[in-house]
Amino acid sequence: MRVLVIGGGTMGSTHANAHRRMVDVELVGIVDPYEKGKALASQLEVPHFAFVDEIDATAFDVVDVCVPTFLHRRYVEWAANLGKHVFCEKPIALTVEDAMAMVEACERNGVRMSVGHCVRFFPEYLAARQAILRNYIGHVAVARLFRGGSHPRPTTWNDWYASENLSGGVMMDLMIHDFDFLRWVFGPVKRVYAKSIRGEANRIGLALVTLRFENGTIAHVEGSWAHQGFGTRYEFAGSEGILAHDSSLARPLVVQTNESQGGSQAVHVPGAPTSKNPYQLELEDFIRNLREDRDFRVTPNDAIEALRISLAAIQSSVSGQPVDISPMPISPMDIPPMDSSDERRTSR
Amino acid sequence: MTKVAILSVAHMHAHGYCGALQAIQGVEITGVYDDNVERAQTFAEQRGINSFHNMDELINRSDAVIICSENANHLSYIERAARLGKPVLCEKPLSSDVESGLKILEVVQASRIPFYMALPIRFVPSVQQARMAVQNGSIGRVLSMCGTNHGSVPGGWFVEKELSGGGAVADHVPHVVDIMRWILGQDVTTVYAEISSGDFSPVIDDSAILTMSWSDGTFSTMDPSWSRKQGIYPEWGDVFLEVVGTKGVVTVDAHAQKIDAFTNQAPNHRYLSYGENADLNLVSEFVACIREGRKSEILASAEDGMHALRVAAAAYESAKTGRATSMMVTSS
Repeated sequence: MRVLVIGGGTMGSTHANAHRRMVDVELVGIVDPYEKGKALASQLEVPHFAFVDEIDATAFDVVDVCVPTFLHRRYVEWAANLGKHVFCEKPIALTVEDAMAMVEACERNGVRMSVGHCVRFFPEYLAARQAILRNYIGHVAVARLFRGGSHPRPTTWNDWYASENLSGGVMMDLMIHDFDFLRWVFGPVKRVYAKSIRGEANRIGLALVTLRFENGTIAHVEGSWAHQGFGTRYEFAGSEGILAHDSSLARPLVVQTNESQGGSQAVHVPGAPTSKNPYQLELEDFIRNLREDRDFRVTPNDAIEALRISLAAIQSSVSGQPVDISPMPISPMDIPPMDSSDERRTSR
Repeated sequence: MTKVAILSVAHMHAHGYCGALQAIQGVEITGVYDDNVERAQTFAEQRGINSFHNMDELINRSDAVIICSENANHLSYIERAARLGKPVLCEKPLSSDVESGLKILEVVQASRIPFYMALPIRFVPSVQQARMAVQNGSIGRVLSMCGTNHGSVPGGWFVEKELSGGGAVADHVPHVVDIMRWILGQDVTTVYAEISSGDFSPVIDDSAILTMSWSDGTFSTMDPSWSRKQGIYPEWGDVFLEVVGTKGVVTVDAHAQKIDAFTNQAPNHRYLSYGENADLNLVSEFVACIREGRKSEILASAEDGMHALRVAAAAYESAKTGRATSMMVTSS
């Protein structure tokens, strides 16, 4: 399977390195007009292309779209129209309209797409989901999730994260991970309430989002670009018990150099170099299920539903009122109107 | 000798306050009274103090009273203490509903007795230090706050709405709202609440997530859920607070100072606290104010208690209507 990676930034680099490690996959090139992309291609010893029209369409089978969100639609449509299956980074797009167009382009061309909701491949999240689905802790009353660190550095291309027009801000770019995961565990979301800090001069973004699921679970999700370091936490409080995890406490390997040797702080080594990281696992899921014609773990519909939660959170954070959402069929012809609310509140 | 009486021991915190009184030099517990005579007698025996059948007689013999009755009965005990002109330390919440809470305010204001809410989190050293850090500008302007005060289902009158006024929301919202308000120095303007019941308590609200807007534009969330089942979790509950500002973040774990204990008695993993006794700090301040005839700069007032009560009421209203509820709705 020959893969072309579009975008040589942080995610492009992560994906490209994963493809290089995968068996039965050949990384045939990196498309990126900037120095960073060129350097990545050179480092990985693969061909570099400044633009997509420089590569022959017969030279690759599959496209991996790793450009900033506002460019996802352009490159997914391009790939689909060439008859190539496509993996697209998250969020699928900035608008449902764009996402639906991307799905429609794939359907029209008979190609398949998966989206990079990688938290579904992080082992600590898989372990929690498994325990919950096995009824380890009963019905989950309240889930609390945290994902946060400092704002992505200005060295990313054009500092695109800092522009909400280009990235969607913290509720879309960062928290969509937890929205997708929670939906995967608890099912459809009924309504969303959110507050957020945006546009602070100090590059701070933070949102506190409350989700109510159709199954009664309440989730409190905190996404932050206002903290130092990066970490994730969760707690699921159920009728029969509690699951909790804090990434800052799970440190299998710490390497410490004595002060006398010039070291100052212990360095926590995040993962053994030979183990597969979640980004590789999600790409393997994509490639394997393409080959075997089976369902991806993350479908385009999953990606659209996660996007709808993010959009509802953004809407709520502006209106100051909750936003009701209900599942949408994939066909663009059949979209029910978004009601602001009628049928209300039982405690579940 | 400062003489303090305990009026009603319906709330289990009476044990903590009694223990504190017994630890303070120069304090005598005149006795305990409870409408529930048996409950008073049992408590008196356990703590080695006198039980009284005549409430007025007990109050008259004392310099001050601590009230630990069911929420709905706060008003009647406060009225008695006020009539006899004695200072009051009252368990939270102020009352079981806004209407009786307002009556309490009237009684307190008319009688001019010193009146304080027993909100011990104000007396946890890390919380006091967090407040100082925020108020001296170390994290810049406050943008958001996120707090938890988890607990276990208390049972008994706590789950009877006529006596408690509500479940986890009524029980725990006062603590966190008071601390946030004390740190921020602003009032809550709007409340949105998702409230559930049936996971830990079949009959009354047991879990919730509240979102609050404050008068300076800050927003916060809080989690008052009774989600720690007895015998399962290492401790009864917790108090966490995170304050995010323009220049940094303050995080407080009010019960961080604890050791892990593993035994073969459920819960097999338990936390043993070695932190300072906040109840003792609170009661000491109350006693000192009585002795010195001064007003406390730290203890929460009846107005503070009323504000917190209105936040809980707004939360219940929000859950009923499905809308973010203005605090104006709860002002009468």
